[in-house]
Amino acid sequence: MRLIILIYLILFFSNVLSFGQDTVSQEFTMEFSNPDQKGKLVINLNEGSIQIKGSPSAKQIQIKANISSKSEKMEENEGMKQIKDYNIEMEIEEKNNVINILSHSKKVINLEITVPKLIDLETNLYVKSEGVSIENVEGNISANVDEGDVLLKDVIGSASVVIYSGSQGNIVANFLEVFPNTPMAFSTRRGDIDVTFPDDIGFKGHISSDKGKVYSDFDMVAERIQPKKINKNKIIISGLIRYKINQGGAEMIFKSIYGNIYIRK
Amino acid sequence: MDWKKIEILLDKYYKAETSLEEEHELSEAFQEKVIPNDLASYKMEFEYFQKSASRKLEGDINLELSNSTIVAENVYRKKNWPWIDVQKIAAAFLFLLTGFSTGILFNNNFKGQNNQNIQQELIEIKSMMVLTLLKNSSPIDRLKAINLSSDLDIEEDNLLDNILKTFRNDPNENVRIAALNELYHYLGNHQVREALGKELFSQQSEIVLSVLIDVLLSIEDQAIQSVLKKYTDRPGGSEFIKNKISTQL
Repeated sequence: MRLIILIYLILFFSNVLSFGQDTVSQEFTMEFSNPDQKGKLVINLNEGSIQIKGSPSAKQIQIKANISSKSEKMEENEGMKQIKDYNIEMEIEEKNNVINILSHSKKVINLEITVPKLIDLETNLYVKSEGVSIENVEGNISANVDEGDVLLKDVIGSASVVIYSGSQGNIVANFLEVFPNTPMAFSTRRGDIDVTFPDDIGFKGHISSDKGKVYSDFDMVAERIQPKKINKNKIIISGLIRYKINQGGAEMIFKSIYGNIYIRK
Repeated sequence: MDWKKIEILLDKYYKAETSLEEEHELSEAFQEKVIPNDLASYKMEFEYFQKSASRKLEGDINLELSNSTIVAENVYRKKNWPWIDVQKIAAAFLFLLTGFSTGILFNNNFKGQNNQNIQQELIEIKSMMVLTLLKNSSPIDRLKAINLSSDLDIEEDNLLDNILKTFRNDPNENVRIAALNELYHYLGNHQVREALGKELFSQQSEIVLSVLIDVLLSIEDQAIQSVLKKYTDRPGGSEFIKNKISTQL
């Protein structure tokens, strides 16, 4: 069954809005078409922040959108002040148990979302952001931000986190449990990567920081990876180093250029 | 006892040329308590022969046993008879063993063939899963695809192009790095080296470039080294990457 719910949110001096000094906000709810099965939430924003909290009792997602107008010089005309424009367009669509939240607006949109605990998440912040925070969910989590921190707190499952641009952006994650034999990857250019795993996790880690250091309280066995096939005319003089933790498992990537990497029990 | 005569009789016996009297003489001879060592092995045969004769005399043997005795007589009239049964048993055992072995081998071949077919099917299923997952929008799924492809020979299973495309074009840096780590295994392939060399000038992400440099510097290849040199000499590009190449080249 295919169920599509489409919501357009246009905010402009609406009386349902609560006005702060520079922020307007609105709350709304969206249901999954099949709430008994694990759903997926995909968020694509240009600018802002995303806070997601899982709730074991939640069957739907509750979204609070705080829209801030960028600081800009307000003009005066014939003694009248320019009115700030909070107008945004945000599309929320549910299809096949996947809820998509999409906005191309250049306004700063800070989303506070409550979701069912069991859910897959994909969050993308493309331009500037204050980061992504995800707490108490179980599923596959993907967070891609241009800048800002990514925090994964008390999560179960697997994750791929990328902080793209040059400014500081740390990745901090603690996993209560991980999905077996599922790969993960964490990369940030300038920030630190600080990930805490259960003691008994096993993985093969590609772990490197060009300018930073790597720290861990896991016992890691360094192994030189030999290519599967070597041309007789070519000689491999060195190899990439991979670290095996607890007899290995899925491959994981931890990569920073300037930041430190912490892999904790 | 004239044992030389007995030896002559034995020769005649095993050529089936003895008379009943001569056979009786042999039987009597092997009832002696002292028998030369070189003839001792024949004692059992003639004792058995004697016993059979006794049973006949006692009349407690039926026709069937008599027949078997006759058969036994004929069979025993071959030299080294104590080994004949052993040979028969061995032959039967060998026959059975051959049968079993053939069966097992055939069965194993069948199973082996079956296993090969199953393995081939598994490879095909895994390859299909890799291709399907690579098309998914979720980066985690695409990471899973790369992870799954590490169990396969991506050259032989026609996945090389797909992994190369993933490295070139995937929007997610983590997925591109994972693809690169997988491609590292195929640096012996000229196509892979060439593609990775070109990507040095196409990739924008310093994170990906940093891993790419590690991969390229791990092989001794003049073509690759000249590509790396070219990168450092060109205007623009990442200074960090240029420095990394210069210090490690």
